[in-house]
Amino acid sequence: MPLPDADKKSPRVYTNLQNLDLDSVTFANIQSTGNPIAVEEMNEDEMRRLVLVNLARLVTAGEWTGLLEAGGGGDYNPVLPNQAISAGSAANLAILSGYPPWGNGNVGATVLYGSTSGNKIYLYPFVAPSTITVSNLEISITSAAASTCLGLMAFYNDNGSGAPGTLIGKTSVDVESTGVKVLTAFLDSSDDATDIDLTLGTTYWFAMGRSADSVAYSYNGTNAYARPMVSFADAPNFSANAHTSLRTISSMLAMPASFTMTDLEPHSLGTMVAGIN
Amino acid sequence: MHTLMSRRREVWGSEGLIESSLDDVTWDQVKGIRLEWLDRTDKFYIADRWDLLSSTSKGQLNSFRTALRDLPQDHDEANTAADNMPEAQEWFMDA
Repeated sequence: MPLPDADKKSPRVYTNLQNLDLDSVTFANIQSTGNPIAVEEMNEDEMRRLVLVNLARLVTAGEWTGLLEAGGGGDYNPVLPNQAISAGSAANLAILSGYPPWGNGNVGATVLYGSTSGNKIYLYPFVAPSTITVSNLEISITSAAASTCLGLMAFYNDNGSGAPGTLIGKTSVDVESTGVKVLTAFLDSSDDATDIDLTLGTTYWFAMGRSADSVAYSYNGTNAYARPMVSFADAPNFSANAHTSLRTISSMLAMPASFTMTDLEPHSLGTMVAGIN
Repeated sequence: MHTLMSRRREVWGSEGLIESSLDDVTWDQVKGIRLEWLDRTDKFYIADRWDLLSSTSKGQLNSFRTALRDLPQDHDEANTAADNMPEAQEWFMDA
């Protein structure tokens, strides 16, 4: 029996797919059948048949990826700020440490400790506000290192489980003077030049550290008091802010290619404000 | 010592420092930093903390805050106010 009020003739859908069963028909079959069908009233019957066959295919195959993602259910939908809001504005930086869901805009001068406990890599997650190849990474150093020291910064992929994965790119800068540092060159894990390519709505991790043992410097950082947790906790009676960033347990004075999960721990250090454009 | 506000901007590339310049700042930016540090040092005036400070520390704190308060009357331009912000002692950063 045809669909209600439908022409019994199916010029494409049933004609093209007639020798396939629901277990073997593929999305490519559906796509190639539907691709030439224009969205207009005279094609309503064929579009209904196409939806019906694809739904039956998904039910049979138990494969809902296309339905869930192509339909919009799986995308990250909030639009995060990624443009200047007035003509001639100098406000052209996307502040990764300030955007939801991980960041906040409450900032202040923050010290990277002048002891061995600061010889670690500190990380926080962010969601990319746009698809971008990073031209500039900007940070603000508020208290200079007293001796030779590089501030280390890097971008990591998420490992798919809400923890830092592989290195995308890293950079470093002399922190023996204060002010805004604009970093324009990035290296991969082999120290070859690379691009930092970020995709809208994807979770990444920003990492910071230093190159010299126990040399303190300060930077403009986000206040941990308003940051969400970025890790599991042992129990519900943890102390305030204890899980608002991650850091390595081992001392590291260089950015690694990736992290060992057992070498990471939650921490409370106010994380570096990082802007990109 | 901790620099509250630096107008210095450096651009770094693969060959090192490419250029250096001074940013212009606004009074709103100066006011924001000034307020942040007045807030940040308020806690030292609570009696139980104040009583623990040495006379040197008390003097550093009072001078610092007075200099912050006087910035608008001492400087006509935001840039000069930024350049003349007092420096903070490292212990002011204590939680």
